[in-house]
Amino acid sequence: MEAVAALERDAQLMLQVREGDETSFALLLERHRGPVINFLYRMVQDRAVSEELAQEVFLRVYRSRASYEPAAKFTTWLFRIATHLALNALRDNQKAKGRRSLDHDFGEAIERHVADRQPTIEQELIRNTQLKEIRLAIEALPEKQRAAVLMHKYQGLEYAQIAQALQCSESAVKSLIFRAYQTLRSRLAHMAPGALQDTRTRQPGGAGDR
Amino acid sequence: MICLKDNSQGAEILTDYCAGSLEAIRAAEFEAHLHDCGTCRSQVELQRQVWNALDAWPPVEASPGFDARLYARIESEQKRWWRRAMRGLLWNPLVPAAGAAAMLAIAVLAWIPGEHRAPQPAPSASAEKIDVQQVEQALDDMDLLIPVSQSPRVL
Ligand SMILES: [Zn+2]
Repeated sequence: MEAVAALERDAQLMLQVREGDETSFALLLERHRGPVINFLYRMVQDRAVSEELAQEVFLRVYRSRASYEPAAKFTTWLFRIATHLALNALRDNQKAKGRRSLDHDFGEAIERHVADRQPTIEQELIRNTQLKEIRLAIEALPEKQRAAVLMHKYQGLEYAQIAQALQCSESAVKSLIFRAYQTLRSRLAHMAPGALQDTRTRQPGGAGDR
Repeated sequence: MICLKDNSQGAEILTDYCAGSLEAIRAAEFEAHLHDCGTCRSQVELQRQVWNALDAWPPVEASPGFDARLYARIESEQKRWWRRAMRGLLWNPLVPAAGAAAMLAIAVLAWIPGEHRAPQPAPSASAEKIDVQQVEQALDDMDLLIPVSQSPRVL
């Protein structure tokens, strides 16, 4: 029920943007800025690049306002743009890809973490190691599997929506997602549940970024 | 009975069950099966650990200047569009001067009141009132009164 209401609201806002209503664009930005940035951030694992790509996503949304028709869910359309840009950026930067950005951003995550709770140094080390493992495991996934699993896990998109975002069939998307989780199970399942639980309860929104 | 072993839908059942999106009847059926099947229990446990591990990756916040940067880009893109459109009119040899001036005035009238404005900052209340001076000012702003060869390059 909530999803239907959200669909109507977003589509309505976008139609108002089409009519020249500036406030509606600001509202759409407010509603989707966080999820889009986080999706892109987890795709490319670089703060600056993800923000630049997110800017491009919303710029394209604004550019497309005149031709917008609410054929698909707004979120699906939005993540189709975001996925397209992320995959292109990853392909373009394949050669330059290295550990630099990951380590740089990781330092930032550590700082925020420490400020949040002041756990013991040992707890903090365990957590940081685990976070790094998660990020490396996601980074190691093939790009389409990565995009699919991130949209499934953090954005809570349905298989059909992810299929539209990736422009492939629903069965192909399921295959991407199940293979990704299988890989992640073999890489991450050894982590101690207690330590992860501890970190998890601190997160706003727990199950994702929606 | 739903068992993940030798089940073509096993991966989907496991994923949906742990994501909480398996329909209630099937979830209840699967839970009943879990009491008796150690293989399925361990699969569920592994998938839950992955699910929880991914929850441990904290979301990031947008940087404070994100919206301002976006609106500035929209605004500058619109100015470029405007400039190109106006240049096309003014410097097209096929468009006679009087006609070009008339089209320019129409374009300005069509442009300023609404939908091509950047969403922020909010426009002034007098935007709808167009006069000759305002059009000239707009042209000055857009570098349209100098020849293309002397004007800065438009990207
Ligand atoms: Zn079983």
